[in-house]
Amino acid sequence: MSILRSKRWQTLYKIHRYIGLVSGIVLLMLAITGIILNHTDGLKLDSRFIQNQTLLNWYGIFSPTPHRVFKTQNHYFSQFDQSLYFNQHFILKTSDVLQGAIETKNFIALAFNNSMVLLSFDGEIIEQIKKPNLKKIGSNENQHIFVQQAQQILISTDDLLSWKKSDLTNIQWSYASTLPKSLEKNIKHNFRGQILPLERVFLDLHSGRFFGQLGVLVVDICGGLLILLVLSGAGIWLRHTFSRRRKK
Amino acid sequence: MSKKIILLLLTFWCCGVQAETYQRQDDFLIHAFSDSNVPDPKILWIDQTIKPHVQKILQHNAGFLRTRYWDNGTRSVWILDEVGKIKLITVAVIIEQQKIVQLKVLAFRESRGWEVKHDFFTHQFKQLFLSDQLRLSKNIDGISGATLSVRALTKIAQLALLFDQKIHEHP
Repeated sequence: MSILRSKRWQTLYKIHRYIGLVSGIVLLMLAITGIILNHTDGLKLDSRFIQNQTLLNWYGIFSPTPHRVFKTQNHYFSQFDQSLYFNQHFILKTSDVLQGAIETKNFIALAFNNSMVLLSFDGEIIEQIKKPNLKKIGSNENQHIFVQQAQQILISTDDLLSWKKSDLTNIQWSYASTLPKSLEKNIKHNFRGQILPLERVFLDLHSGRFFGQLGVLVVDICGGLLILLVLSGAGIWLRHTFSRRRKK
Repeated sequence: MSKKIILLLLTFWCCGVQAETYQRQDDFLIHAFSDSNVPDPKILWIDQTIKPHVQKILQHNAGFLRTRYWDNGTRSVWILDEVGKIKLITVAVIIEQQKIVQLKVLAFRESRGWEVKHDFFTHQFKQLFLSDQLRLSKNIDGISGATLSVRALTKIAQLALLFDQKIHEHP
C-alpha cells in the first residue's frame, strides 16, 4: 500500500517537473513580453514601426495602389489609403480625400474634400485649414488660389487667409495624374513600413496570436498547465510539511 | 423604468464613443466678439524665436509653421488643435490682458476623456496667465480617466497665452 502511495507521489513529482519544463518556455516568453509591454510609452513601442519585410509579409500587410495622385510643377502628391505622400515622403494621415494640389511662388496648397493643407517646398506643414465640401483647386497667372466649394468658385488673394466668390474663368485647375513606376515602388515600400507598430507584435507574441489560432491554443494550454503546476506544487509542499511534522 | 436606464446608458455610451463638434468656429467667434464685428483673421508665424518655447510646451514639434488668430485690440481668440491620446481636440481660447477669459472645447474626437468639455472643468482656466517658466499661474485639477485630454487642454491654454504674449511684444 505504501509502495503504491509512494509511486503515486513519484508520478506527481514527474508531472510537476515536466509541466514546469514545458510551460516554462511559454512562461518565459510571457514574462519578457509582459515586462516590455509594461513600458510601452517609455520604449515608444506604439510609434516605432516594423520595417522587416518578412514580418510584414507574415502579417499579410501589402501596399494598396494609390487612389489619388496629383502633380504640381515640381512635385508629386499621392494618397495611399489615409497616408499622404509628398514625392516619396510621408507627410500626414488624413481621412479626407485629396482633391488637388497647386504650387505658387510662396508655397504648395493641397485641397481635400473637407480641408486644405499648406506646405513649404520642403514638405513641411505650414497650416491645416478646415474647409468643407471642396471639389477642386486651381490657380491663375497672378498666383491667386481658387477652390470649388460645393457649386461655387472661391478665390483667395491673401495666402488663404480669406475667401470671396469669383466669376473668373481663366483658372488652371489641378487634375489627377499618375505616379512614375519607380516613385510608386518607393512609396509602397515606405507605406508598408508605417503600418505595423512594435507594440502590436509584442501584444500578439504575449497572447500567442502571432502564431495564429495555434499560438492562442498553446498559450491557453500553458495557462491550464500553470494551474496544474500550482496545484501539484501545493500538494508536494503540503506532503513535505506533514511528513516533517510526523517525524518530529 | 428599465427603458429609461437603457436610454441613459446609451446616451453616455454615445457621448463616450462619438466624435463630436460642440460649437462651430464661426459661431464661437461671433460669441467671442459679442455678435458685432468679428475681425479679419491674422497670422502668427512660428519662427525661430518662438519655436523652442512651443516645443517645450507641447513636448513635441508643433507640426505647423503658422497659426491664425482673431484680435480686435482688446481681446484675442485662438483656435488650436492638440492630440489627446490619438485624435485631435479643437479648443478655442479667448485672452484679454494676457489672461484667459474663456477656454472652450469646440470639437472632441477621442473615445475617452470627453468630460473636459464641461464648464466645471474649463472654468479652472479663467484668469490664468503664463508664468516665466511657461507654466499656467495655477495648477489645473485633473479628471480621472481623462488625464491625456486634461494635458492637451492645458498645453493649448499655455500655447494660446504664449502666442498672445508674442503678438503683444513690442518690436
